Amino acid sequence: MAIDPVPSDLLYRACDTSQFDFETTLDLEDHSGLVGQERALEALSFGTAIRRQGYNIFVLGPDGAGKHEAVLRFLAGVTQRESAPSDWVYVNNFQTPHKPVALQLGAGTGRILKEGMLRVIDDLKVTIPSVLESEEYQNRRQSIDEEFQEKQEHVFEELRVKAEGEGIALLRTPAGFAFAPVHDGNVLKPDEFNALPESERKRIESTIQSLQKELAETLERIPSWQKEHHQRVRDLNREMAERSVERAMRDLHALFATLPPVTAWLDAVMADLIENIGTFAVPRGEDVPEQMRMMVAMQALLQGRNGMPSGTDPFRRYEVNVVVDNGREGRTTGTASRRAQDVADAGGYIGGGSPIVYEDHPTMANLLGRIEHMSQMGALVTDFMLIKPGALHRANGGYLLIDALKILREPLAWEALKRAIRRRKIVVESVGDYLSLVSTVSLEPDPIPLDVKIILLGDRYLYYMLSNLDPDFGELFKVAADFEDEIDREPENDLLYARLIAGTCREENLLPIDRSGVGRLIERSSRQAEDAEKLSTIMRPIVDLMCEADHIARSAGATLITADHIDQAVEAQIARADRLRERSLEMITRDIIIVDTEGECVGQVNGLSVLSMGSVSFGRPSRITARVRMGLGSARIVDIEREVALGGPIHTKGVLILSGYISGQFLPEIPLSMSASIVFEQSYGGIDGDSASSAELYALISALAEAPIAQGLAVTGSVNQHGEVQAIGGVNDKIEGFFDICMRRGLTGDQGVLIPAANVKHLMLRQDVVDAVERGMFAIYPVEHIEEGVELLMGTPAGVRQADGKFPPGTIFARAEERLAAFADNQRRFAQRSDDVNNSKNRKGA
Amino acid sequence: MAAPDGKVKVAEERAGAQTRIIVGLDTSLAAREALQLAVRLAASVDARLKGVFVEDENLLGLADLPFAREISFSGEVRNIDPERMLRAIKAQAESARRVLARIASQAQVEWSFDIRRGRPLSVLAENMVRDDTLVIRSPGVASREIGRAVRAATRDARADVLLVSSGAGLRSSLSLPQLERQGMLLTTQGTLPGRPVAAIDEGTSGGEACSAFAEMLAARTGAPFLRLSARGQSPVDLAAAARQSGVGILVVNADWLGNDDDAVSLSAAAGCPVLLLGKDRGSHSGSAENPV
Repeated sequence: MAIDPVPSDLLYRACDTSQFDFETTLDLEDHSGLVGQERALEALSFGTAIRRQGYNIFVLGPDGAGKHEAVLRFLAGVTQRESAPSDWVYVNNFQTPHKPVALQLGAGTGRILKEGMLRVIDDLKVTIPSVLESEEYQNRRQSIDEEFQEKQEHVFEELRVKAEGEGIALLRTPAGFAFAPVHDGNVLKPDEFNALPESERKRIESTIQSLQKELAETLERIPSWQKEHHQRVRDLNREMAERSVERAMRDLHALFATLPPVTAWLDAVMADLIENIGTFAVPRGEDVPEQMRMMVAMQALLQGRNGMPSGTDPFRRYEVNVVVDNGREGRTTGTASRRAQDVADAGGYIGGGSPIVYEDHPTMANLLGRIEHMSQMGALVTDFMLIKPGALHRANGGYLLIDALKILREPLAWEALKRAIRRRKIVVESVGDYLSLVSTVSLEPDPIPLDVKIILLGDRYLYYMLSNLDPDFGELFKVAADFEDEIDREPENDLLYARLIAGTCREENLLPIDRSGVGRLIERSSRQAEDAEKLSTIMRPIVDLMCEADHIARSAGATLITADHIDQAVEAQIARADRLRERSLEMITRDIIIVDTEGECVGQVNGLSVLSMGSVSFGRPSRITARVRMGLGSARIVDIEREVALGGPIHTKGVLILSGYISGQFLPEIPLSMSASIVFEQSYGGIDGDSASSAELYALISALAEAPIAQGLAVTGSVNQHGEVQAIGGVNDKIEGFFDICMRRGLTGDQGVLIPAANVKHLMLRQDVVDAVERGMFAIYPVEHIEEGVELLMGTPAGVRQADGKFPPGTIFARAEERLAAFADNQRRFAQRSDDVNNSKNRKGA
Repeated sequence: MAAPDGKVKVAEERAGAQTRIIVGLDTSLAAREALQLAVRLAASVDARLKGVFVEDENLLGLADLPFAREISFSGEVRNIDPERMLRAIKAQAESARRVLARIASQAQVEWSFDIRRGRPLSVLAENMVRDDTLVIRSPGVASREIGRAVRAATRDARADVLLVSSGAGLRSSLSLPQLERQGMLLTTQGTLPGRPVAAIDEGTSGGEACSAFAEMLAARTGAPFLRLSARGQSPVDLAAAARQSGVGILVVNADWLGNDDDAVSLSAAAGCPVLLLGKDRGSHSGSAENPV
């Protein structure tokens, strides 16, 4: 049953660069598609094509897999075929200023309306004052004013004359009017009045009372005269201004004649302009005393006119706030960028057609938009011009990309997004208002209808977590685009990968990479995938490696990046992150952590584990020991790690499988009576995984059979109840970890690692390991069944049960079974003796 | 009155004193209009403006009467308390001073303020000196009372009176393009440029002086000048003719007027302010070519 080591050519699958017909990446075209992501592409294609409620997309895949870039590249192709959606503007609501009106306009025409309105106001600033200063206007206005004044003066004059006829004067007091008896123009003094006959005094008093009544009635009529006067002034203004305003707005009206909401608003503007034509005559800017401006502002505040910040330009209410500009000027033109960050920096847009927006900071305000305020005399005021669009506004009619983790981290943002999708409209609301934290007067802008495809990007864990925990998620994100982590390593994909590398070189402005360098990068990708037959789709580590190799090459004055530069970059990466690995190796070589790499020992084997700390992971050998003794009528294996709560559930499962194997393998007809304990020596942290279960089984069998295990070998692999050795992860790190220890102590030629045969295809070992194997100083043994490992480790065949039901004498399994049989026999005798003693006691008692 | 462009050295001729425009102040709209007119006038002839607030004796006496009542602007009738009345008059005076200060400063006119006690028009007229100009805008005051004040000012003090009676259009009465250009509009509506300055020449030296002064004023304000020859027509007929011609301000020799009612009647008929030049104006005001 002796097995041969893995040949050196299977330890590292080098890339066959002869398959390439290019010299450097300069000769290669970019790869425009996605390598091996057909499933994700199909999902994207479906998700973008279907325009129904809830068919938003969640793109799931590992970080660094280039999901953003892939989605952007895909969307860039889609959006070019779609037309640009409408512009949206907010304008003043003249009836209800705190409810600004949203107007939908053709793409690029929002800007035209805005500029048109500015032109109209500029024109009117010139034409209206000239109308108001015209002789015609002044004469008519003067006539109205004087008529009003004369009317007032006339009634007072009448009253005065009437009073004068009675010897009474009408006097103007600081706060009104009064009547008093006069003589020769002077008011009578009290003693003069008292000197009058009583009848005269009574007459005067009675006359004054009557006059007072008449005056009071006259005063009551004055407000209505004032109202009438104002109305006449307004009518005059309207008449004089109407033509000018109509003329100024004629072009705009014609331009937007096909859009009834816009023409309705323009009509409202016209009416308001005519109504407030006096605004054009009021001195502005520096001509208005500061005190007056403050008074006006204060008055407006007291009246609660929050719709328009007072003291600002009175023509501001005729402006147009373009919140979505889908015109050419409003977009960043050019070819689609591959980088999500570039899209975010460009204001979210790429290309023409429908918009693609990437929101890098998806807060509630950044998604829904916000209403800003400005400070005015200590108060915060706002108006429709201070409505700022959010990502949903900009992406409306197109695609909005959001990182799922980022939006989940932002308070209220996730709920706000779902609400907007469900309601299919964007309602601008602030966090403060939403939580009722602030009670400042604010705006209620018209909601804007929402038609956007939301594309969330995140890892699988997030996707499954949202699916389980958020009942809305499944309703609103019905399409999952699942990115593959790996693709098959085959010549066709190698070339595609090379083109991907070439494109990255150009995008990152790296030196071109020669054929050897490309080959080495493909090999690194395989190593990253932990599989010689696969390539990793997680490009970020490869791009990092390329950038670092570029730095090394440039430092060396090279014009090409070669395999050597890649190797140096890998070594530099390891060296930078090597402190922990180095300390770990040092502790073993100094025998602080005891791991034997020579000799043999009963019940002791070298297991292999992988330590992961951040981005660094490395293999480390651990001593696993087992001890056995007679048990109490069962086969009980104590997992010490589990007893002290350092073992994880999978590790515990692995140990329990050992019980199953022992029970099935030895003395199937006799009750077992064994107690065993297994432990990872000098392990002070948690242990999980079942990759050491085969090593534990070897230690147990060694302890049972009292057969020593060669300490120059280390073991990795899980085992099932039938003794089959199963594949594990991190095989390369584990082998290299043990190799490094042996290397430091000096290779003896008897050292090696037992790995599951199923892991051979994953081997992408370091060159020094491969070299040592080629020199016969180190060996990798592919083990399929536990018996193979037993023979390798203990130097004696494990043994196969014969027709007589026994293992061949002298084999490891025969020795183990004999030991177990002895335990069982002893147990029976021990139990018999106890029964005899008990019976004797009972008889004596009787 | 001051002369334009320094042609006549008014200050030297008048014992070194700058010509004064005097206006009675209170807080009524009429008083505000009178003040604005006075400021414009002062600015146009480089005169000094003096605002006088007169604490009306009649009001103080009224407060002492046992049955005195006040009707507020809203029509409410209430008792009058002498102390409160005095306080209100003092407050009114301070308010009037502030308005004067603001309006005069805006027009860059030199100004002063005084408080007197008595009958308003009488006190103003009594305090006039030769060559002062008194601006009267007193709706609700008996025309005889106004006439007496005009007589006292023009004949006794030999001062001038700018009379604005009811119905006399104020806004367009005196246009000052140079002030408008400097952004010193005194009303929100602006003024109407180009309304003529007219004078009634009744054939005396005073009439000639009026014509000369009106011509100078017209030149100064950029308005047309119009000479109306009396030729036996009554003041009211002439005033009506002036009104028909759209005159902005009418200059008249005060000596020409008959009884106390004539001044008010003339102003009302003219529909514009009337500048009544004081007695013996012709003897001291220079020739028509060199008006004062």
